[in-house]
Amino acid sequence: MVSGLSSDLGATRALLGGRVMSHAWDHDLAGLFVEELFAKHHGEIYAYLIRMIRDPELAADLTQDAFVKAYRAYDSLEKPENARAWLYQIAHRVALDHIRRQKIVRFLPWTGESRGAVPSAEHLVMESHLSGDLQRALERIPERQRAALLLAELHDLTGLELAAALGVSHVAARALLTRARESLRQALAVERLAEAEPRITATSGDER
Amino acid sequence: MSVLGGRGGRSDDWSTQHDRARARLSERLDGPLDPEESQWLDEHLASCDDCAVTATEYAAQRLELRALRDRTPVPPRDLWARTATSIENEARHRALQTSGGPRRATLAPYALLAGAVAVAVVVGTLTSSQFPPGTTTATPPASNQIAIATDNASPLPTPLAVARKEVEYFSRGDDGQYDLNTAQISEVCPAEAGSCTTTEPNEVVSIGPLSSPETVFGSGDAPLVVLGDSANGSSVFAIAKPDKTVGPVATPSLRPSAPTATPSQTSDAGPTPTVRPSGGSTPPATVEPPTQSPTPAGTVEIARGLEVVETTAAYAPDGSAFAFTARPSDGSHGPDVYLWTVGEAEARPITTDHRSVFGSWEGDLIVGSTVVTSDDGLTNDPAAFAIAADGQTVVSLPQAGLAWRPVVDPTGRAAIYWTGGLEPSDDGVGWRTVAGRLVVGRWNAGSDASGEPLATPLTGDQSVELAETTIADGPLADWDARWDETGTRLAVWVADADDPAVGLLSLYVVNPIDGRIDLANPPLPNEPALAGFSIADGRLAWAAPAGNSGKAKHVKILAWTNKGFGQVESEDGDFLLVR
Repeated sequence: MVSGLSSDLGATRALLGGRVMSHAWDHDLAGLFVEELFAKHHGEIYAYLIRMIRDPELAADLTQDAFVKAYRAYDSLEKPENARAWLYQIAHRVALDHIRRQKIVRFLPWTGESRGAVPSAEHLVMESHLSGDLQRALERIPERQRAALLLAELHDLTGLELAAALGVSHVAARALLTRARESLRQALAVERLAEAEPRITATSGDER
Repeated sequence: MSVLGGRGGRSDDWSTQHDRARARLSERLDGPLDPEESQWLDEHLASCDDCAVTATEYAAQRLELRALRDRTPVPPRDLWARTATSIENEARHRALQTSGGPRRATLAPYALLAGAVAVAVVVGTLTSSQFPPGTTTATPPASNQIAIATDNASPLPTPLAVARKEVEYFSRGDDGQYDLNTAQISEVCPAEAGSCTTTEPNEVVSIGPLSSPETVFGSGDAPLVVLGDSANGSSVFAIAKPDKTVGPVATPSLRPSAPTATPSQTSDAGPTPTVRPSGGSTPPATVEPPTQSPTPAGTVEIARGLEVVETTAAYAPDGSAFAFTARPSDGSHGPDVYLWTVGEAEARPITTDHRSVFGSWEGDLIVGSTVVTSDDGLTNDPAAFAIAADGQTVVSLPQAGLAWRPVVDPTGRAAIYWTGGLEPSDDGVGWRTVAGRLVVGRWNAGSDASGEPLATPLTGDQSVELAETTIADGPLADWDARWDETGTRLAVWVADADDPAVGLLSLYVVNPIDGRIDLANPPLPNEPALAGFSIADGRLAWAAPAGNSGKAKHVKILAWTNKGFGQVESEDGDFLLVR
């Protein structure tokens, strides 16, 4: 019934039309739809996630997760031409969710003792010494700002696409980008100052 | 109803011209400015050396950023195979789920609504996993556990499995944004064990910016009711529960002439457009004019000019309405019971005597109490009443007796309440307890209506007639009491006399046959706790205060099954439990 992988996104979506399909039909279309999305965009989505998360293994897992979420939510995409921004929106949420989970709570046995181990701090410091000052500066700025900068400068999202991907209004996206550029400028200045005075940065990694 | 969170700002809002210059510099990197603004920027740069340096630095960092493109990472080769497997599992899972369910194709409007809720629940459950290994609602994935507690002690006791249920709480992020955390608690450490290994997934969704929230109430998918302090009384907001599913692409509103907001008003990102479960259709993102305090999208201020009083407030058992006690913030008169029906713009008072307080819900009736002053004006006694949500139908309580703030158990057979004297509070418009007791007594509200308008004090000895059991002796600064949904567990929090924000929380077991309370061996005796706890689904959750042997604030959970009690606790953090 479905013409196969060669149909482009628009055609796939056109099959959906305004009508409600049966479930079998739904699943086939969603699968095809996501397969095409994956073929076109998985490289850049993976790149975005690795730039946000800084862990190749995890970025691969999250990329997979983003496409499964796209599969689940494919009928929420109204216009095929928005598919790329929509996919970035999903990936962005996946990334932020992951970052939040890392920051937040673990539930522990209630012993009244032995609390507060934060395993990631040392790792963060270690890693920050291994990458360039730009990367360290990027990691210093709040993650939403980092996302806005990466999407605008490296992934070439236009103003409207950026707003859609970040899930905010156009005005808010522009404001976020403005703040991001200023944050990065200041973070870079701090990094470069620290480089000039070596070893003082030893504890800077866990300030975020 | 107003949806908050839209941000405007006029061009003269810039705190400095340099801020304006930085914003324009940034915008010029993304596209041409309008000629007037462009000219202003050039003139400013010519006169401001620092800003000119900033311009150079912006341009340089853009080049550096773009140079990162040369290092585009290569995805693993098996990424599609892995993804396709996940999607196939997902499809199979969905097919199973939908085969017995309603068909979407032929839904009537009512069914559409029900369908939307069902979809939201299903997707919410699915998205609780970051890594989807063919999840089902019955057996959540084991691969995404947030908590991994290890202990060096050799053989650890086996964790106690409890029914997987959610415990919700707010946490405050580094960026001032609040998150709603949903901990899925399915294992706890047995009470007798010092330590054991448990793993619990934890789901986090962003709520957005909030101004000083103090307590949060929730009920299923109903909006979260957030009480806080504000300059003119209490702030009472209802916040649509954030959707855990991936939303449709919002259509951003384009306002070419509108400049960006002032930095003081904005946080990192504007609030995300609220996406309500809507069966797949796409609601437009709503952005309305800005309001005074930063709040997330989908927020309604349901009470203005009011001071919320007393700790007790609650959602109706069916989550359709929220009741609380408040008085005008100008202190012009005393308290009344207020009711907010979900979906309405504002809460409304349902008592008008200015001396009534909320106690609890009994089914769809609101149980409260009022103050009866003796003819000589010397004594003030409490009297309980039950009232329908329309504020009209008052149900008499012939056997309720002298009961202040009664909290009725779900079976309607017993209630915990204050019995004893009251006196005007220092502000002259409220009431506080004097000599008396917090007791659990027999309750027969509504079932035996005699037509009298309000409660009739019992003749003889109330404590005997109602078989009252004393939980605490007064006077009490404040308290809060809740039953679990079975009526066999009762949690009571009694405020500290000096600092009513903290208190002692106890959990009691109630014998389901004779209603006796085991006071001798409470599973949780006098645990330090902040105001606001939740009890439901076989677990009691509360926030432990800081300062207890050097510890910071954290969430504690006591859970039980017929096999016993067990507990877990969170890491430290600035948490606010959703009651």
